[in-house]
Amino acid sequence: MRRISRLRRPSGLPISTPCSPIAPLPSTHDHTTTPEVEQVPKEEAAQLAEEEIYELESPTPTQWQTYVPPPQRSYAERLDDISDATYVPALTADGLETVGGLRNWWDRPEHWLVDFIGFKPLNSVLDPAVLETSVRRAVIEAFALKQAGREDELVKAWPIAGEDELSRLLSVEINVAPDGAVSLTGDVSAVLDSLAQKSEPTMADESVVGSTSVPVPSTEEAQKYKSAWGHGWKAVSLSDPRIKFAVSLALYEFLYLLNLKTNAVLQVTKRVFQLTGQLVHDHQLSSITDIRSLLHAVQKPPKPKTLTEEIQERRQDLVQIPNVSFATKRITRGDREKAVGRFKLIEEELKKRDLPLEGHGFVRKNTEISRFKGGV
Amino acid sequence: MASKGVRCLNEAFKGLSLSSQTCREAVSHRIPSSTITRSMATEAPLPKITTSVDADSLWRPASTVPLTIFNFPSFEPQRLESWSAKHLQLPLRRDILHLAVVYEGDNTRQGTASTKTRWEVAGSHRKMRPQKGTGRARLGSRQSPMLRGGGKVFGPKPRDFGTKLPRKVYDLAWRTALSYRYRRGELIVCQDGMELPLPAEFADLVAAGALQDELQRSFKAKWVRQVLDANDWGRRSGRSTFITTSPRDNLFEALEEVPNYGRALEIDDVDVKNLLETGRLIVEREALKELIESHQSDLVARVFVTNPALPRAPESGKVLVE
Repeated sequence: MRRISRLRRPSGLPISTPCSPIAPLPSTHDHTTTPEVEQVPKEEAAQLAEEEIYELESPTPTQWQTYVPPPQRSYAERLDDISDATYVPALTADGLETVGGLRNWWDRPEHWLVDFIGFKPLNSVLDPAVLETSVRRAVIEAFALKQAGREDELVKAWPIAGEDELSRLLSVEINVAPDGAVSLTGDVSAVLDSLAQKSEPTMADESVVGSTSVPVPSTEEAQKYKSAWGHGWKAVSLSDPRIKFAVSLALYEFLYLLNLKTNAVLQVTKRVFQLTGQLVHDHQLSSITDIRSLLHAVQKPPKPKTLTEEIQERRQDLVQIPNVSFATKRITRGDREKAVGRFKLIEEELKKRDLPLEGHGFVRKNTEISRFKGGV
Repeated sequence: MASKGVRCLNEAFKGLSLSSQTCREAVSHRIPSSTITRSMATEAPLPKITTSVDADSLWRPASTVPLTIFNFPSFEPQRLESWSAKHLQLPLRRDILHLAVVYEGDNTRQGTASTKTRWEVAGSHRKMRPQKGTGRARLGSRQSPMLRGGGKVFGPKPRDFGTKLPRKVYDLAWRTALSYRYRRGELIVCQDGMELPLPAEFADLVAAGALQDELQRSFKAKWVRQVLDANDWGRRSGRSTFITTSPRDNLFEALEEVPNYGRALEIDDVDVKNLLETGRLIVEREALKELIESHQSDLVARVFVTNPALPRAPESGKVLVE
């Protein structure tokens, strides 16, 4: 007996409409419609009437903007309650807008409209030139705030500016004096304005900081910028040299240095994390004293996860060797047989003997394997 | 009394006189300012191989390490603190970690496996058949370990598999595990009260009774999956262990729905093995503090110190930037 799949009866949901089970859903060997309905025996109809069909109503209340719940359930009338003699119950699901349960309700895009947005951008920047522009931008913004005396804003989350503001930002020049003093020349006020803007929170939840899409220059643009800047600005010290000289008391030197230096480091690294998704880890902070070391930490490419990746990305010379072939997965005996074309014969022979084509038959796999791979 | 005093004085004067000194000491008195210490002609002046070290140029290992405190779901760095290097910057000691993990494993063994010996198997001890005359093998009672259904000879009996480990070694293992995670950038410390906030509209939906239990659970599952994926903490990045001081309903319930993305533990349930298992640890600040404070027996002096201002243990958690 084949039945159309139904919604499960709600467990804790209060039902406002009176439950009136209806609709004989006779056994349908084929999906033909109306005429047969009259011939359904009365008893069978009554028995089937016990089963309920829940139908989805199409109009959803407009009050739910971001997450759409399933509509309230409504129930069709019982067949014997209907006075209209010409009424013919449906036998198939044809014409229903939706069929099925709540199984993957939230996975459907029309029900889940707003995703979680964190501080980190969704896609991390890996290109070294683009990373350098982001680092420079962070440095410019940090020193602009410092020059303007708005030091209390340094550790807050700064808004992400648009494309045109980005180009204005990057046109600001950083001058490093021989004694290590940093000064900015250019449109510093525009930089400060862009930092003063409040980014409108995209999340309905206030506790979640919304970061919109980050405008990132393309690789070519970043290269152009990079060549225009030169390397002089990378000497910008993230520690204050005067204080470094002043505080030479050995005991608390590190603590002082850490305190004063990380003021600059934290604000720059935080901004770099916000713009590029590259997080500078805590243990790296103490070794970052200037922009060069920061760039070195940020631009280091991520470790390849597999040996295959490593060989393909970093050891192209190995792949090029003529008498060496490179495969992305382990070559097994079966693969060798397949390459020669012998595997079909082996398969046939195995089938004849009722042996498994894969694995070792009754011998189970190591049960620990799934746990090693992160399963539970 | 007087004679004793005179005798002391005499002895003191004798000590000053030349004759009371040994020959070697006397030489230095006679030849006062010279680099040559012996009077023989073959002697050469001593080379100046030692130099006094400037105290400032000495290398000193850092006594504190920086630790960033993040906002929980958004992963925004919020504060920088200095923590003691004795808490979070210990050298890796695999041997100690191994000892601790084995110790925990031993002590969590249930040890209830039990079999019956022939004296415990129920039944009559009557001789099964006569000794002679049947043409068959001689047999004693039905409980004989040789027979099916008989007793087990050297079978398991309930016992305690627990082993011992010095408290200080175990505590060192705890902080070594945390330090290892710190150095790899896998220790993420979040603000106190770490809890998964759910969207406001979800709360409205639940209040309006529009979602049944099943939908609520699947909503939480999807939400926590999104949070973890957005921060690179999820399944693709090798799961995460969340450690909090007390159970947090949303976080714990949501993570139970998606065990492939991570697990949440209270501090009482955490072991050294848990610290080493998943891709990263996401710890509430207060929880980290409690974990360290309860595992620093090797750092805390057990002698009485008169100055109460002196710290008894290394200090951690000083705010540097906020």
